[in-house]
Amino acid sequence: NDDERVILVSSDCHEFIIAKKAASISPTLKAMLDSSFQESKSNQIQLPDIDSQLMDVIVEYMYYNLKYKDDPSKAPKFDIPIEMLLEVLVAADYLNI
Amino acid sequence: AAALLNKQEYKLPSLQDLCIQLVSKHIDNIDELGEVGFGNLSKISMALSKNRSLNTRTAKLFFHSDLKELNLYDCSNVGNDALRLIGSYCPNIESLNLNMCGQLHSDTLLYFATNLKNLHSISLNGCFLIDDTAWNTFFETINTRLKRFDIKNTHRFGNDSLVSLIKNCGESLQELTLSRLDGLTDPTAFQILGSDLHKLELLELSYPNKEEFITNELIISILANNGSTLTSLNLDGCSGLGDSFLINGIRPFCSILTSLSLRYLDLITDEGVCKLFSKWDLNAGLMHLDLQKCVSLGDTALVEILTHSADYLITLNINSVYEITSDFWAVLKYVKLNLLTSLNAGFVRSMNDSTIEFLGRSCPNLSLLEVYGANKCTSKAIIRKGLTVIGRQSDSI
Repeated sequence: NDDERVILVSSDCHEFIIAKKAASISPTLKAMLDSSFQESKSNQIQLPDIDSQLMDVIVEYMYYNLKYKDDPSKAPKFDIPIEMLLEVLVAADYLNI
Repeated sequence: AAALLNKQEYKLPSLQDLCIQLVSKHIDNIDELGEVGFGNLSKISMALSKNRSLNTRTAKLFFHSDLKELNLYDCSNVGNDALRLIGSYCPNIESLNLNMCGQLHSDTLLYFATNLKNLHSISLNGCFLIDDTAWNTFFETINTRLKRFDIKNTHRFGNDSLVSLIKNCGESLQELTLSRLDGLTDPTAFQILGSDLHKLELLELSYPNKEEFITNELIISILANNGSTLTSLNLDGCSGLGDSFLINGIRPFCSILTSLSLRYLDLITDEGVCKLFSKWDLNAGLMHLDLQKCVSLGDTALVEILTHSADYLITLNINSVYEITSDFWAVLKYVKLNLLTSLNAGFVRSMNDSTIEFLGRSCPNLSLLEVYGANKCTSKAIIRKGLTVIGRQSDSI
């Protein structure tokens, strides 16, 4: 179902409501949503290591990936704030994106 | 091949790729990258290593003057010059762990020994450029400052190096790991481990070049002198060992041993293990036991182990101990393993769905159960809350 939504909850308790398709870009989140884990029923995932500022970048990337993965030649440059690079790297490693 | 290249050219970069590109680009202005706690540095090092992106440039990220511990998980692409910088940029390093450090030169190692005044713990995997002479000078320089020495996968750490290590640093050594060292070819060199190492708590002698180098007599003589201080012993892959070292080495001398790993010891038998554990009052109990691929063991040995250590066991690995039958699992219905958190029962074919179910009850703290290759474990098993079962054929990723 294309309209399905999931909620990602950041460490500072902000809720990010995004398309399940976008969240599924991350194999880590996809596994949580597909399997018999609790998250698949509630459609809500707690990410206690990721704060809301960081989540902004992550969510933006997941939509960016969703939009351009089939036609990467059209993709514009994706910007990451330099001062957040290392934090983004650790989070991206966890989410495997 | 052209198509493949084209495809690569247009592939959308992952977020990790993007970060790593930018990190390399901005590496010379590290301050711009913002504050990262030392706790995160290790995670970043892991992420870069996993992407095979730890190199001469990105390694600089980790060099801080007040850093005490440094772990670089994949140094394949980190040049000797960059590694040498550790010696000048991180003077306060106490513990250094370099994995796959094939580019590490002798002069750099010696530079560490002289410049890093607080270095007491070193762990090197794959440092095959460092030869006997350099090791000797290193041990002479670092002397009794060395508390932990961990070396794996090099053929250049030879007999003389081992002798020099023990002569110079033996007095202070608390942890010693010698694994997959094909340069140790003289059985008499190993004898030096039987000298007094008063502080030794952890000893790993694993995967020797030839199984006949590590004999029962050798282990018994090492334990006779040093067994009383040992808390952890690992003899994985020393497949020349038989029951004798269990009965005459471990049993009489290892009073405070809590962790024992004996992978691939196919000569140890039920009889030997029973003689070790039966009424072993000297030792209170083992917390970690690894018997993977000890293929001659069966139910009797395991029952005797539980009789001795059931109240203490935290992790147990009986992967590929094929002979374990339902009789053993039946015993577990009456014995509670209160502390057990992790059990690897891969390829133990007597495991089945009902075993999984009652293991959940008799091991209240069990959180991880591995059952790879145990094909009677199916999706129908009833699994207690908080227990993760992995390796069933029905589990898809």
